Amino acid sequence: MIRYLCISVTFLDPLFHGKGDADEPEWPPSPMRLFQALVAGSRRGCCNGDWSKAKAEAYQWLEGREPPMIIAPPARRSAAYTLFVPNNDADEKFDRQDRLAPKMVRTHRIVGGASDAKSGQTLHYVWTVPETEGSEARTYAELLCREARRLTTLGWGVDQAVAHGRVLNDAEVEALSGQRWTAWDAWFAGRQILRAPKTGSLDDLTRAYEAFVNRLSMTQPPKAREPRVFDRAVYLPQGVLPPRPRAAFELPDGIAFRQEDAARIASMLRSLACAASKADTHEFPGGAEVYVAGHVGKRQDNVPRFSYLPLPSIGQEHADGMIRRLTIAEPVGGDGSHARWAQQRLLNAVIRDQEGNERGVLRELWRQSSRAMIRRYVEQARIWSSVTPVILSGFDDSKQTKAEKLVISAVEHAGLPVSAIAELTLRKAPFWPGSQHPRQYALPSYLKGLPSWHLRIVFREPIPGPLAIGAGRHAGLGLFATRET
Amino acid sequence: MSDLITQYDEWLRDDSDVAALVKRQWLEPVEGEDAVIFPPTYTLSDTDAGGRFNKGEQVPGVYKGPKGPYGYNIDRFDDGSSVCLIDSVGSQANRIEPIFMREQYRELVPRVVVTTSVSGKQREINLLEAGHRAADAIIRFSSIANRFADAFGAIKDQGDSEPLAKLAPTSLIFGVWDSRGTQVKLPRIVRSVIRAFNVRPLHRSAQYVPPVDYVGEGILEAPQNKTQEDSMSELGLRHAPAPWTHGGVQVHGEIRREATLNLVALRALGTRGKNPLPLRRYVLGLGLVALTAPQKTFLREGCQLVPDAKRLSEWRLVRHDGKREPWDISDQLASEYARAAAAAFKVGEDMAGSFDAKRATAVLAQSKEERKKSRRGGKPEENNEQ
Repeated sequence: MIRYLCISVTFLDPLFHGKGDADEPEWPPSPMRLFQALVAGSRRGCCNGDWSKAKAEAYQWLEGREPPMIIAPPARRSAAYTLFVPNNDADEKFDRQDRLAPKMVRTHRIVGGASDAKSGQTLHYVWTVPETEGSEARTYAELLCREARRLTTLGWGVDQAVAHGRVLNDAEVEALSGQRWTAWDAWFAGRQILRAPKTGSLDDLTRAYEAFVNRLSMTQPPKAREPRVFDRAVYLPQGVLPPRPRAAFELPDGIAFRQEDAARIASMLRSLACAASKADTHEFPGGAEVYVAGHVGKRQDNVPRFSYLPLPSIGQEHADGMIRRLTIAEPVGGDGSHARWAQQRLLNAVIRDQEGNERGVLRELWRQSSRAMIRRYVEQARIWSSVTPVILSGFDDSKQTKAEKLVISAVEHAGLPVSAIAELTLRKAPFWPGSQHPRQYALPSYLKGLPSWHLRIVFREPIPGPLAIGAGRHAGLGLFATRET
Repeated sequence: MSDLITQYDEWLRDDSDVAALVKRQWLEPVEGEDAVIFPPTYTLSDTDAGGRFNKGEQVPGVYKGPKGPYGYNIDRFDDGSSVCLIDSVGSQANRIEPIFMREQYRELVPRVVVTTSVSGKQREINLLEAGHRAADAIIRFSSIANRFADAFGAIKDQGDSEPLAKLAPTSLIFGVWDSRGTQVKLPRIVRSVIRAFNVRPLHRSAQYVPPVDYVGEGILEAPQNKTQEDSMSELGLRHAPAPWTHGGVQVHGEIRREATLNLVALRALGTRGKNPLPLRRYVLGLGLVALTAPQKTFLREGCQLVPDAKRLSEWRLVRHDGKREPWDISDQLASEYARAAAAAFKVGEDMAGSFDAKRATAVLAQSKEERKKSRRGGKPEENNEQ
């Protein structure tokens, strides 16, 4: 049975002043911030007299765990302003007015407030503690529950808070109210990255504290007073997907393919990637045969693998729908290492058709318009429309209702939460200039005969691309783009 | 021991379930409910609102200033509501702390003054008015500096807050950082802020009209250029318009003070080898007085707020799990408790020191390297001549 260590923190005021990396306002407060606040509470004032080896071990146990889930009330950025605060260095500048230092205040305001029954001003940090870890884990968790009550602030000194800890079961965690944020083991540019403790963080905080207390001795640089040992994790709210890491290439001038041949182009790209992977020691999850070549059984449709996505030109007034750009995308939540491999290994490689004829060279993106065009395929948006048709995995008997059910199934297979969909439109007519009726598209033999539709999906929250669903989603079919950039 | 002094002991024990006391007090402008009040203004140059204003957008509450956009700190929400900062945490602390100079409360804290000479006249500075409290330079360069250095040292080395409570108990209440000495940092126990809800910012314009039309009456020659025009305006010899500047806000919602007394931070105060309860009772008493004593109503020109007689203050007792329970205390009971706790604790002795101008001047005259040298070892600044 799995248990959970839950440390709950209630803010006494709805404003949170904490800043994350890059000096940007942070929400939710990072697990490392909580760790620091817990340690500070445990060692503040007379409480330091109670510090013990057992407590240190409990914190070391906590720092070694995977980053917790954070359940937080919603918060929004508040209006920023600048305070002027006199420095306490009258020995350098005696006049108060000469000692004023600006301090930019950028906060988050918790929405709802203390009286909000649903979420209030309480956050929960939830670590999984499998029962298999034994009684020692339970002892540590219970000790930390008691120590949590010593927390006085989380954030700046004005961010007063109170906390307590509990060991919970599944149902009790499910009942905690607030937006759930989970940590992803990957790096995504532009996403909320929060610090989390790791092995060694406790000792490092002690070191940083000693450096701070001795700062006037000037024997160490100011950076010595900062924590150094921590991990970083991308935190995303539940229902929001991480982006798909990808490699992107552009064909030379004068070379373009018809959109209806998207699957054939994808096949050429795949062959190139397969050849490169065989001549390389790069390790792929499940092996290159699965990840790069896509040789998976029918029952393993969701096994992680590359998607080969030729990108028809769209979005501009004279866009002709021809394919001049190609991407290779990792699955949702990929860590980017395989996309980087593809970018490096395949750059300047020659793609060939089935007969072995050269059909083009993969270059870096060189057209001025390329980045803007690719953004239509990859940026976060709520409304997505298919460029190439979605191939359904079953037979719809030409009935829209049955087709809709198959579409829902296709969405799930693509790793998207169905609950994220607000609206769905199916039709045979294309949504984009340059796109064609589904029957115009060349299909690989294993997809022939399956129904195909153009779709428009409206999601409840923006999701990032590239988005491709359906049985042809790894082969250039069922590719979506957005007009919202 | 009397019930009066022990009635809150349950909150002061290390294993207490009560984490904080929270007070909400409703205020209204002295002119009446829908009067215009003037919140503090802030420079908004490096903010999103300031940036939008600079691009020509009309941003409510942002105005054009001589050094860039400035204005009120107002958060606006999608539902049309808004929250405006009326008095910040730091500002509230600076207003509340001098309460302990009032006749009815002055016996609760030691009177610590430092005398200095300003323009040849002796001037007394009360520690309660020093911005950095017990760590302020006025203390660091005084003849009583070492007492405070030792008190901070006791906290740092032994977790013993009693010496500082005998010297500067309000530093425990409002927080202090001995940034130029031991680096001891104590979190505030009492925190207060005033906000107004659903505000509509206004503009105002004004014009100085000289009593005589100096140019029109031929008393002075007409200015020949803009520089001369500006000089005449500066000297009051010309009309001086001040159009469309900050004009306060009209509050359509509440004006509320929200104050907290953090019992967890209070329970981190300890003593060396002694029962910490007397110390904690004393600090609690001061904290309760800080929150219940009638406060000065005049915040700034155009902003005088009085308690809303139609709506009584609300107190809540907050437990560690976030649950809130109704609670109440009157200022009279708070004072009685504070007096009893102070008597039992034995308030520290009054103290007078003198500002050592020579020493401060000597330190000022030091080069950066010399100052670095004198700081090594964490000792207060030393005169090189000693």
